[in-house]
Amino acid sequence: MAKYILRRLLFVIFLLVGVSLLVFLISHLVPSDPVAANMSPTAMGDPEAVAAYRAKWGLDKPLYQQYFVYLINLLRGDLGTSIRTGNPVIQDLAQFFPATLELSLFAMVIAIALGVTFGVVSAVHRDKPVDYAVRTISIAGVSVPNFWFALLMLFLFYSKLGVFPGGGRVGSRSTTPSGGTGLYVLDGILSGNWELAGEAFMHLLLPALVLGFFTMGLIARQTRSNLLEVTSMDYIRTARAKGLSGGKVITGHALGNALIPVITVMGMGFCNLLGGMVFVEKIFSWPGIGQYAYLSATTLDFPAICGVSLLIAVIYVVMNLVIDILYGIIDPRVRYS
Amino acid sequence: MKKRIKAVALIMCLALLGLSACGKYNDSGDSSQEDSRSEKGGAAGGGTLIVGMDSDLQTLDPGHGYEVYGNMIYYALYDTLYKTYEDSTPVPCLAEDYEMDDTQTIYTFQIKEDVVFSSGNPLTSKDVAFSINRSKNLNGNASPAAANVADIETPDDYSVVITLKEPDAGFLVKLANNAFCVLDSEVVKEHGGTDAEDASTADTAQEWLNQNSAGSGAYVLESWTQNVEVVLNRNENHWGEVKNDKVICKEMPDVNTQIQNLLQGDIDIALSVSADNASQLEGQDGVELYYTPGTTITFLLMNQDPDIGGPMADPKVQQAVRYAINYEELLQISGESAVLPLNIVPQGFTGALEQDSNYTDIEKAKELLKEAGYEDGFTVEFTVATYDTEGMSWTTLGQKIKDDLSKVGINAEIKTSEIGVVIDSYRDGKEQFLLMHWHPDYPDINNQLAFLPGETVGLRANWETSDNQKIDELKNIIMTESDEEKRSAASEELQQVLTEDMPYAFLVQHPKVLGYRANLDGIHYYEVQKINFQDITVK
Amino acid sequence: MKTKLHMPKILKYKNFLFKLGLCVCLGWILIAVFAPLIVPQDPYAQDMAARFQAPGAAHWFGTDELGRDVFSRVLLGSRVSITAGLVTVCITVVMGLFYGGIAGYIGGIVDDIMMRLAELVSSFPPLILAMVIAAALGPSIFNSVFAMTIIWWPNYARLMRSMVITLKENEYITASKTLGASHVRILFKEILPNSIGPLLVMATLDIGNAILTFAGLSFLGLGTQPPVPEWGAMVSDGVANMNCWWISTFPGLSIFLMSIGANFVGDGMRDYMDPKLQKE
Repeated sequence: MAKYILRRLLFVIFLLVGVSLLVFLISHLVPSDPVAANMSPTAMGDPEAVAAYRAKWGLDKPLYQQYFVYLINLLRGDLGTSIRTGNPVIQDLAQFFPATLELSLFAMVIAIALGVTFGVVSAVHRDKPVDYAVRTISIAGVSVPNFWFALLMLFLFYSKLGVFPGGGRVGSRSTTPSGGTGLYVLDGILSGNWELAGEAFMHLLLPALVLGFFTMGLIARQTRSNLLEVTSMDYIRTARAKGLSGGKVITGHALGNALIPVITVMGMGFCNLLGGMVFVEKIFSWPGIGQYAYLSATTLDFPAICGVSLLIAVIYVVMNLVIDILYGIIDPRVRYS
Repeated sequence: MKKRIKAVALIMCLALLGLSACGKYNDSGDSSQEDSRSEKGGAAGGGTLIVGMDSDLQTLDPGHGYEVYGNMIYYALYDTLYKTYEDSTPVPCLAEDYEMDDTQTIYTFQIKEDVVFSSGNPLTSKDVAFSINRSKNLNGNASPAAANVADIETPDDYSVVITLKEPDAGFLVKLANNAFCVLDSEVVKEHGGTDAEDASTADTAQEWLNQNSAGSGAYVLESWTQNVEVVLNRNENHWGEVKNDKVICKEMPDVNTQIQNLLQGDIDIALSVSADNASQLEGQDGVELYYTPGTTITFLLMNQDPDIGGPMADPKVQQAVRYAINYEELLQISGESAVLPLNIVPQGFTGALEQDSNYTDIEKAKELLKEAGYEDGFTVEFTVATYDTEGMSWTTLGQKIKDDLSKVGINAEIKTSEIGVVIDSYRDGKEQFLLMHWHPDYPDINNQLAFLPGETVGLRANWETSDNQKIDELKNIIMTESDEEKRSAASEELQQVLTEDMPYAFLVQHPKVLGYRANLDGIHYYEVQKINFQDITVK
Repeated sequence: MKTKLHMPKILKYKNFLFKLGLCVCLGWILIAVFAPLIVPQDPYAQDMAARFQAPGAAHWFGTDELGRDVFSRVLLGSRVSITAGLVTVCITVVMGLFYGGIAGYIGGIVDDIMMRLAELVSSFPPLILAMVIAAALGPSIFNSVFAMTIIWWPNYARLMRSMVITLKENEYITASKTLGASHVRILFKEILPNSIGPLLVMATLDIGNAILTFAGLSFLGLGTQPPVPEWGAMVSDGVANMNCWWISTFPGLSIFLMSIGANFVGDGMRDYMDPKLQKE
């Protein structure tokens, strides 16, 4: 078991170095001058100002030198300074990541809860109208353009029904809390500030629902198909023959085994969330990594692009590692392959 | 299992409904919320103003600032010698009077005597000198505005003598730029600020200034959370009346979200409304719209270099393009309050030229093309970045232009691109045929002279010199002549020369649209500072 | 085992959703093929007087910001969107097939390295990769498809590899080897036909995803060049004018329909191919 984990860890390191190289190379493929994208037109006309700018960001050194400097800094925890915001990238990431983290966690909880529920219901009532309805909803989850869906939900639940707030992490009349972990619900609970916790919670629900909709679809379908596969197996037949009721059979015997592959899907789903993040964050005024990534990419902010990509890749890699280890624990066959 | 799942689902739904009942996020019809809003105000005129915007604030240090909405905040936090409001006419702010010598390079200002900073320190001439020198020496984005300042002297506590390197007829207007915001020199120095020659490396006050203000304006900066909000509080030490207790500028990148929030009363002003989606707010209860012509111009750039521009380098082709565009329809697309500049100076600036908006002439365009040897038309690559001006999408404009040009035989193939990539190639003068916009740095004709041969934009079209000497002559008059009427006349004459001889086709001056709650008074839009919080009260 | 005979049977498969999905997909493909012939109006004709008209007799799906007929644009837009989706999926399937097949078959260290590389590529955040590629190479349909294939092929490679690994332990493979069959022959005759099934299922499920991603890229301004109609670009154009709901809704619905159709087909195929489900 330890050997297995060790192998995976070594690989993770290789992956991270590889990603940093890839990220660095790709972001420098873009044939454009970040100076132009970030200085005012009149400032650009001043050669001294431009020269000072270039020197500050080291844009004059050859590419491979730039990469090694980058790598060394990386190992020291220095991700460079964002050309766009002027802050150290690591500071920007620390500022914006908690928002995304909180949102993704909520989205995953909703996706898993609803997804598994729907999947089970669908499998148990296979080929009946309920099954069709659930399958349609789950497939709708993976078929809808999420930016459009987000706007629709905002319009419906905020403007028309007034059930959820219209974006932002806290109300428009409240000011942003500072300090703590950056996860407002958690901070609120830990500091006993129930008003904050409640407000943050309400603001999380709609964007989390929109974001998790896609993943919910994936999980529902996977749960359904795995459950169907498992329930046709012999040991289930034995359990039924023994006289166990339908419900007990499913929870006691089938669900556990059926959920194993679903763990993979959950991992994939979490990473998928990061994809839909850009649109949802924009529409719900959520100051997170998705927005940061988009703004960095379009303003050709190399340090920020590298930083965000690395962060997301790290999350992805760590997620995969966790899943692999979980698999290894749950399913002994995997360890010995 | 089924029962359990159903039970859980039911409980979840009930919980959600229960929680939602705790707080209705819908202001309309919820009178208790309305009352509490005016209660917060206390005495008439107080209260909290919430503004929704899509901004790109990167700093709140006036010595570094260069963002579209920067001046909205700087005007609230800091004072300058002169400010501009309507008509780009400079209005005295801290300066009570000024004198200019005959060389037009030495300006002497008398400043107000009873002004105190938010810290309690008195505002004197040394603060003015410090602030301007700092902006100049920081070599940041704001520095070019102060580049023409050669020297500043402070003969006494309330007089400032500024010597310019060259005469500049637009200097007073330039003073409204954030580079000239007056900072509390003692406080800034305490936090690492310096105005010495090496300020570009030695100054470390920016970080502090991003979170605190050191000014004499109506408001004080309470906090700035990047990409989230800016919170301003009333400045108790301000020399004038402060209309509101608190101003919160919330960042909402999606315009639909702003509109929804405005309709629900969660924000008081929506800054990013565009002419197209203004229709969502028309006729809605509790919401009003405000239209004003802006000064940002979209234009077509045609490269004069035959190697790059191809057919677009031919002056006859350029004139044909100007005749081919359907200006009336462009106005329709751009929305109410859009105007046609038709030349380099936007309407609303002193020195703008009145021209007939019915400039379109398809027959003349075809004739010119024939004369140029393109009777059967030609194909050209048309670069249109995925960007917008005041909410007007460039791709929409581009498609309209393409359609117009196709009527005279020019086949413009649209090539989209990210703005960052396009800007670079544009500034290098490598674009053949491009849609671009120009946002004046300050509201004076001098700023627009950038379009002339050998100047900033001219060079980008590879228009280095012109055979027409008139252009240079008139340019000099405009830059230095202090008599407004003579300047204006020169500007009009210049534009008449340019009408048939320039590598541009000017499209539209895009209107600015604001959405605001009907219970607000004093809403007005200014080109430099956008909204003046000092004007606005809650009825 | 001849796979040919199985195909017609699938059409008789009782699954209602599968048949529905098939009809929808075929319908759209037909529309895409014949679009230029069946559009009632010129999808490019601008009409300033008719801007932002709600759906009505003259324009069944209303008009957009330049007065163009949305119905015709939706029909024509199917060409780009569906082609982009199909092409992306085809290329990724083929790439994944070869890459994963070879990796799985050879096994050992080669397999390890190849799979690690694949994982490296898939660790990269897809949207950022797409944005950077499009910015670097210029927005165009080709470049967007290129960006998407780079992101997706690892999934198919992984699937193919895992199937090849299980299959190659099978006895009939060993039997073939003993009989002297070459590796190539084994790959093509024995392994490929038996592994293509799940890949096809994944592919059909991904078609919808591909169309959506392509739409998302167009939403960000990468992809087709205006004025060529494309569903994603049309939704993004309409988003700025939400109260003219028809501009985004109809293309959005089209994406949704095509996607859901493909997904039903995929689901049906998977259900069909699963021998255990046949017993019930």
